[in-house]
Amino acid sequence: MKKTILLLVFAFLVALSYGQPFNLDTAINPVELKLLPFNPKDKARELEKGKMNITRVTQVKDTLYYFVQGASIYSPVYVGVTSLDPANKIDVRLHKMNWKNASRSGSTDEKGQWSEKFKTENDFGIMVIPQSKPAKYTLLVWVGDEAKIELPPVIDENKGEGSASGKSGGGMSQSTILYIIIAVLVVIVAFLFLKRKNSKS
Amino acid sequence: MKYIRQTILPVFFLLVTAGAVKAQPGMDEIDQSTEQTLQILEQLLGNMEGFEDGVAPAFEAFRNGMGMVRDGLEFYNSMQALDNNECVPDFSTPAEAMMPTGCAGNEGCAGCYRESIGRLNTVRKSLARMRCIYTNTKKFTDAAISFGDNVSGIHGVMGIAWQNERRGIEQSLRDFEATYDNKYKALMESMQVALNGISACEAKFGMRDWYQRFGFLYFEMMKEKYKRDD
Repeated sequence: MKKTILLLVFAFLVALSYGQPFNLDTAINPVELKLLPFNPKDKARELEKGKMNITRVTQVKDTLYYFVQGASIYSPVYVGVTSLDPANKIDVRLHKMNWKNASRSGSTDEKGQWSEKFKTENDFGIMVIPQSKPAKYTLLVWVGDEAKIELPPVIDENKGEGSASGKSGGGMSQSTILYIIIAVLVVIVAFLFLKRKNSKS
Repeated sequence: MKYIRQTILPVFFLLVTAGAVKAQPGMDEIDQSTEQTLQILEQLLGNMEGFEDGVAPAFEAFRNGMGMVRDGLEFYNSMQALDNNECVPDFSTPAEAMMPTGCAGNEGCAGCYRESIGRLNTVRKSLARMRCIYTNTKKFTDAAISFGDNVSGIHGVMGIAWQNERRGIEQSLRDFEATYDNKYKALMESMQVALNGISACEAKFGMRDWYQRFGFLYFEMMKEKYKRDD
């Protein structure tokens, strides 16, 4: 119940936040890559659970724009591009805020593959520029289930009641160490004083 | 062999028939996978013969990447945010706001703590995520307005259209801020419930007046940390 309410809260917040990388250019019409549930039945593949989109494209335009919505900052994201003709290099750019400045970029390798892994909140854009056209490729976007994050504790088991309230606890407090240092210094000064006195006499 | 007949052949048929849009000359062809394709991939264990037109190499590349992953949390932690300027949840707590316990090692106390700690951690995660959504949205809006102001100044007609667009963006941000404030209030109330729960456990097994002595300080620190300051 608690989780459902939180999910609704974030769905509402995310809906009110931005939708895709910003632009004022009407020539840019990004295609939304819709994520569908992906739940492998094999237990060994449990970490692949999440949402996925596989899109096969034959691109004739110089540049195509795509965007994905619904990622969570607590989920891993994978984006892969596979060119059906490895000789035809494809440039891929990932965008967060706007279509002008890429957050990450790269090209398909000799096997015709390129991929990136990252985390992000809600949405991001993908810009694809093949070197020659028509270009045949497949886009694969995967957003994993949220990771079970272990938060650093805020209750310190070593910080007992005594030390927390300023009294000396089980371990040595700073003031105790200070007293020891002062005592050692007093002993050294006294020893030097006595030594000097003895040498004079 | 039986498996291949039962799985691969329908896959091949499905990919050839379902969702395949014939490309018009000179037009891009964009063919998104259907739920059925993903359901078949979910059950896939072995090789992918029969998958045509790039699904197999793309999916195999994904599986190869995932094959090395043994631990989901480790995998997640190894990742960087997409953008260098993107907000990443911050769970750090200053040393002075760390809270002590008077019943560490006591089994009854640990059992009593469980529910409240669970609630506290859920609230911490939610606050951190909400803060990031807010920070990213604010950055995005500021960048969009500044970009629009610069571009519209160059072109007169665009300038008039931009003013309408700008008002819409500003209104969206105001709505978003109001939602943030409401959710912030609800989450802080939930945090207070969690801290009072811990205080009740401490009163039973550890120390008295835990909330007044330690919980309150932590609560105030969190209240300040996630309060919208603009």
